[in-house]
Amino acid sequence: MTRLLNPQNWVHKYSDYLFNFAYARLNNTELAEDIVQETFLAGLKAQKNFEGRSTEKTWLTSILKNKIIDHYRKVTLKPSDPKETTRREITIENFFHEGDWIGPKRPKSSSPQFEKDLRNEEFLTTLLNCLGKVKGKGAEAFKMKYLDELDSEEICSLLQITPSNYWVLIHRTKLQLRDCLEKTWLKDE
Amino acid sequence: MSTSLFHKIFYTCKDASIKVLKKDHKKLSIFGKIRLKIHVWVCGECDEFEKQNELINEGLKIIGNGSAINGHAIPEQKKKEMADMIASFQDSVKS
Repeated sequence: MTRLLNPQNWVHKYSDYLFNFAYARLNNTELAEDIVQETFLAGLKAQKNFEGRSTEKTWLTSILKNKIIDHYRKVTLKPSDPKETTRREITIENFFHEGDWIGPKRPKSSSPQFEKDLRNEEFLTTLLNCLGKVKGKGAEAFKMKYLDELDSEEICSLLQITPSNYWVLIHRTKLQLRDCLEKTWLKDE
Repeated sequence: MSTSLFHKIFYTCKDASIKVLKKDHKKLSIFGKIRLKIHVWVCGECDEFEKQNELINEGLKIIGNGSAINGHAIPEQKKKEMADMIASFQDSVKS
């Protein structure tokens, strides 16, 4: 079925959906609004390329995804903020002594809430807030991997990083995120 | 059993945690999977770490789909600005 574009309905039908999609990745209201506006503008300019094989929503979302990836790339390729580099980084070494968990760093019991947490908007909001607090080069690579589900080779090529650097950035970011979540959500039963 | 042979068969907690994080990116070998399973089976903390990791991954997947957090909306003023931009673009194309 060939579909047609109706740009006059875009704001009414898709702006909030696209905004939430962008906000989840950018964690910045103004930036998310601007990127949605840029998406509509890019969509208008590319109307002729729309072949009608996907829905309008899917098509606009893919434009938005590309805009967000461009943003990630700009952020990552920018020289690092000295404040960021001097901030204490969480690494796997912080959690272990001779291969064993260090007492206070031991994972707290959260498993009984697993299914409930995933249906809980408060948990997802907490996770999103923690994701917003994660800083540094790894944050963009991490979002590409876990939110946009890009493969590691693509991420390395887009962000111009080596596979070993990618792994270090990603695992440190995951540990930062877990650390934040453990302080705010995962608590001892 | 020597320590090195012991660690060839059984992961330490640190090794197991690294494998938990790595398996999101790369499939573990069969031997690696078995070693991790054994460790997680006997170690409550690493079992918890693996579950937390899974919880984070699943939560991120839901967030990534864009359907979970719908509480935010673009202010009406900004929506009007966007609608005006679209209308003026369409007009300029027609004329």
